[in-house]
Amino acid sequence: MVSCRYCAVFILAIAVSLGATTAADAQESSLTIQTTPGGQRPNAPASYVDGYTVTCTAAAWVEGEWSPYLYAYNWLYVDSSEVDYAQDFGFWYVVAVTEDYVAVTPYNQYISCYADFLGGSQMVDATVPGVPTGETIQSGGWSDVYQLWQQTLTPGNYSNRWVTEQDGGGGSDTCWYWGSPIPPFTSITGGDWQVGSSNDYGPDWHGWGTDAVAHYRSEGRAPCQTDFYQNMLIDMPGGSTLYQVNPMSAGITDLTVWCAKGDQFEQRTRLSPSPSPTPHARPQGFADRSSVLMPRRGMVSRH
Amino acid sequence: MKSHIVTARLRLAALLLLLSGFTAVSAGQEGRPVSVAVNDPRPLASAIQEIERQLGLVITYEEVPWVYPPDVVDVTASVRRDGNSSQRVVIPRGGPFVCSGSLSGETSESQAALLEGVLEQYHAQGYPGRFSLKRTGDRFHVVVSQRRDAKGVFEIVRPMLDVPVTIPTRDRTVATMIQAIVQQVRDNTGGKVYLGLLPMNVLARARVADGAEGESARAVLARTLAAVPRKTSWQLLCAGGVDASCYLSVLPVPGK
Repeated sequence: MVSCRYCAVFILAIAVSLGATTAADAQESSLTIQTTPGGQRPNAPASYVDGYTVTCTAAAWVEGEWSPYLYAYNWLYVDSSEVDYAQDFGFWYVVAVTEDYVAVTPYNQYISCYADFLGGSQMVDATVPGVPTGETIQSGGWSDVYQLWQQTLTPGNYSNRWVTEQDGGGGSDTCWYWGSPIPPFTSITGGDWQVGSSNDYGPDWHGWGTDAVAHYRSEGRAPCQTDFYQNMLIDMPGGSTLYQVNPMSAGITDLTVWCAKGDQFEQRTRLSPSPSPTPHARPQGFADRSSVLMPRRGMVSRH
Repeated sequence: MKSHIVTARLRLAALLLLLSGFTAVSAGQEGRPVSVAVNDPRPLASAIQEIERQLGLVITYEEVPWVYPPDVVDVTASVRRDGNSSQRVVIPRGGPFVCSGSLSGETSESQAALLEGVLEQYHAQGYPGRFSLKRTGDRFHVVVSQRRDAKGVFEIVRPMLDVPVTIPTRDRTVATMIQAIVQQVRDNTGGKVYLGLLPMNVLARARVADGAEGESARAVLARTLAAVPRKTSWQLLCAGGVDASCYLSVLPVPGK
């Protein structure tokens, strides 16, 4: 049994006694635990898991001559019309089934089933993994004109779990124009990451590449920007769960490129080396930060 | 009498067999209907993307700059925000395009037949260029083969990704490999080919240990993207005009 200060521990104890029979003996026993995703929030995609139905099943294999006594207490339907009562036979005798609902929390929850059989006891356990309440975001620097965001999940331990980004909608690209040879940048494209030992993952690449920046500048589109939402999901047995929605924005000015995610904002001065010169680059100086189009602000958190 | 009955039964069986065969052929000819209606400066690219989405196929698209004046339209006034009219913004002259066909099965032959039909319908509309269909593995490529020259006469063009590329073999990210391919195409054609939109969270993490020795850029690109753990397609789109730039974008294909 795993226990810790922060972990809710569910114990579903099943005390089972088959009792003594002269006609049959329990030869084997079985104890299983099953977690079935359930409790999805209204209007959420089917894969969004909010909780689990936990089912513990205790059963015993009973062998021996036919006994009306066993038949009377058998919880399973047994079609005995073909049974040759003179022969030995056996069947799984389901002794107990118990079920409970476990809602997800930020922390892992350890569940156990315990059963006492004739000849010994058994225990099985399972885990309902925790779901982060959110993530903190910080810049991991730039790779050319791409911002590399680094994220840390809070508050529990999610090491080795997988997180996936999905498009959260809201796409609007003011750099793109009808007929542009570069498609509109209006949605995230679906990356996934394994969470590291420090609850961190990344980098999350964000922004246009150098050539696209140069193109939009040369076509006189700057300043312009794109805004959309990033849904972050964490893997769960049988599905995944949304834990945070990040507003994401990226923009191009004549002299800078900038990226914003959640409450973070980063920009860098970057002139266009290719494919064609900035048509009317400002003669000198950095763009004043206040002159930069600021992205939408705010964070939508699940918890 | 008995032989008469047997003969009648044989005739009936033959008739049933014929009828069942006829039904099967008819059903095969009808197939799964596919219809697309788009309105875009590049109607074929847009239609191809819609068919990609409907069928879950990877169908790439490659064009070249259109140079025949009626094939392009100057949109400087509506696109430029800086008032600089010395640098014109020119795009292909597209418009509405409706096409339809049917998929008689899940075989690559039936898929190819459907796409050939779409190309025929596109060519009948008089929009810019003539295109042909190519294949590498399970990817289809809709590739420009002819365009009207400045006088309006069709000329054969060599698609940019037909160009052979030579890239040293080493382990690198897929994004770096694509950069190397585009750089080679630019160097070997003298054309203005650049990178457009790339799904970097996918391409910067997938790796390939690969190179190329005089292979077509298309084949190397297809092989490189096969290393990505999700379906991806590409579009090579060009601005309009003689000296226009083209941009290679890699796009995720929605799962069917």
